[in-house]
Amino acid sequence: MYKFKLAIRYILKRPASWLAIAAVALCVFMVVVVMTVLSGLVTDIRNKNHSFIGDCIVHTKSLVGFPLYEEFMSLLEKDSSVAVTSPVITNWALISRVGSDHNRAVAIMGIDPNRHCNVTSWGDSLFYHKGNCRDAFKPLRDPNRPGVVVGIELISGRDMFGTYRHDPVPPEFELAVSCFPLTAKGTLAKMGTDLVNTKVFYFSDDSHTGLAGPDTGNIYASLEDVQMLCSMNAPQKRVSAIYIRFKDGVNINEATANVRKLWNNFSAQNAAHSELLKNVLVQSWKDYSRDEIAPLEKEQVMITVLFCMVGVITIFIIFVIFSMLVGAKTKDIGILKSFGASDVDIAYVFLTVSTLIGAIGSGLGASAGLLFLEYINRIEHFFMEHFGLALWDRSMYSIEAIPNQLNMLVLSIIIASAILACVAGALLPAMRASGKKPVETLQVTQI
Amino acid sequence: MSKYIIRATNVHKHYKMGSADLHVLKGVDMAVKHGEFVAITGASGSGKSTLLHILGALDRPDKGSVEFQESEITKYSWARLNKYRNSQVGFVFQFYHLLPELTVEENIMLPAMISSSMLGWIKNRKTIKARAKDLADQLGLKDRLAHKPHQLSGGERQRVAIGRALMKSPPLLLADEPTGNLDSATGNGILEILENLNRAGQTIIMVTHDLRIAGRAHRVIRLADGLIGQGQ
Repeated sequence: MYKFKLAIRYILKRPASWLAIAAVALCVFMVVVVMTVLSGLVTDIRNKNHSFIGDCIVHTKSLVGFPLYEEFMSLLEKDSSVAVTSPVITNWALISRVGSDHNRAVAIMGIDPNRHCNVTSWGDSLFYHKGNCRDAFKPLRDPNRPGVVVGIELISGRDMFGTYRHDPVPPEFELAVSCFPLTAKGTLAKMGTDLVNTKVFYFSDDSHTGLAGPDTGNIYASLEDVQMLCSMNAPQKRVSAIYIRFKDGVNINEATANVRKLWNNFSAQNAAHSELLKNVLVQSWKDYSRDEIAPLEKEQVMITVLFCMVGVITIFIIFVIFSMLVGAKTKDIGILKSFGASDVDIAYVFLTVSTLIGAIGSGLGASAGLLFLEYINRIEHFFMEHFGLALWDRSMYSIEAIPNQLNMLVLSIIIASAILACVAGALLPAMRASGKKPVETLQVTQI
Repeated sequence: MSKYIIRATNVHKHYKMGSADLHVLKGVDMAVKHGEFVAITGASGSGKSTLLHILGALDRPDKGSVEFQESEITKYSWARLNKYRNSQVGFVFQFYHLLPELTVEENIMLPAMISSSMLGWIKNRKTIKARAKDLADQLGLKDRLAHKPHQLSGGERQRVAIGRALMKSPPLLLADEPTGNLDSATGNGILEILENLNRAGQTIIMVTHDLRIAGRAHRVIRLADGLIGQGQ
């Protein structure tokens, strides 16, 4: 009982204890805020990639594509783990506004909106066709014209707050899209009377996926149109990829391995029909988007390592403060021992102080962190509005708001680590205190 | 019951002072009977405080033995020594040695709090508090229970220290220069308290360098050059 009572009194009466609490609170605040923002960014990018790709992708890195995709999709859709599939063409194109000499290179995706919107969340990225994905390529002004959806950055800039401005009615303009048709062997298809590699499309919508690549350099048109423009419609129809969504509750890695097995069997059976089947890869969405996610994850690991160093600094601060506390309380140790307190009791008093400092400090730090995260976007807006200070350039990054969704597991780990760091920092001084002899600690100079 | 409450036999104690070896106690033999009030006197450096600390198990002798009620405390384990210090002896120090963070009541209760587990404290706290109040009453500290040591005078602090030493009704009270830090009148008051306690049956061993104060005890043991003076 006295141990807890003394521990509380030591905290309340010693300014050094308050310094220790402040140090812990500051460290926890910093870690909570930075880890939340960083893990929020990583989660955001992961979720956006997952939404854009679906669960699994069967694809080739060759611009020529691969044939027999319809047969394989039929096979896939009979599999118990697969919910929906969508054929996709990804290629390069030159676009220019009709009447303008200016052109630019973009990535063109050919999709079947009926299928694609069931596999991915691409439909949610549309502005004028939100909730009506199947008509994505039907311009609102004239649904009979061939429509094109363009990445938002290609037609609209963002204000300082990262918001895209949209007119209530879609702008009216035509885009000439030119592709580079390739033969199945990968050589440029020769121009013939029946070969079309340029087509005029009408603006139908813009797509805001939140991913920098697609938003700044993608356009989308119907699968048939892109197949025709890339000469992937003859002699055998080809696509670049099949996007797959698995049924709910299916383990993505296991289901991807199953698709890979199915593909290996399928390509072995049809090897005689086309060499192009050999270039096809089967990957989960995570593996496919590794290039985008891995750098952020590495950054997250690096920051975590740096914060481990902050933890070491906390341990050192606590060590110094407790060494001071033990030095100041040497006489108390002697008094307690004179009246029967054991070494363990003495260590317990100081370790209780350190645990309480850790708990109070991390509680205060976490609360301040939560409060700061709650208002982080408003605070940033305030600084942007009044001083023009932004955390990052919204015209460059596709992040609208600072992520502030707290991960309770991360918070629990941070709090537990802070308390452990305090106990670790106090361990040596506490052991030193407990080992003191009563006669020495009472500073009896008289022999 | 043994005739002697505590007996030291051939007690030796050395201290290292830099490179010098200080032989403080050179084979001390002494015994104290139940109910005695004994004063240990001697010049500064004669080893009187060292002897008191060894009797109270605050220190261990290098050689020799100390028996408390016929049980040799020099062979006790650390755990048993803690119990001995907690309930068999009570210390009164020259500089009071109160815990500044605790109130008068809490300081008096300290030995009882140390020996109580959390559950034991919850179960017995009323009895413990009543005992502390009773002691405070006897020592004239009734109105000082909620005060902190820094709010008390020297005499009051020493009375709190006596209350703390008596909290668990130890058979033996050890006082190390209990009046050494007090003016004459206040010191006299403390001695009266000790005399009253002794009259009530409390065995007391008191260390003092002041022969007049030592004269208030039943028996005086003089330490000189690490040995008990002849004829004592």
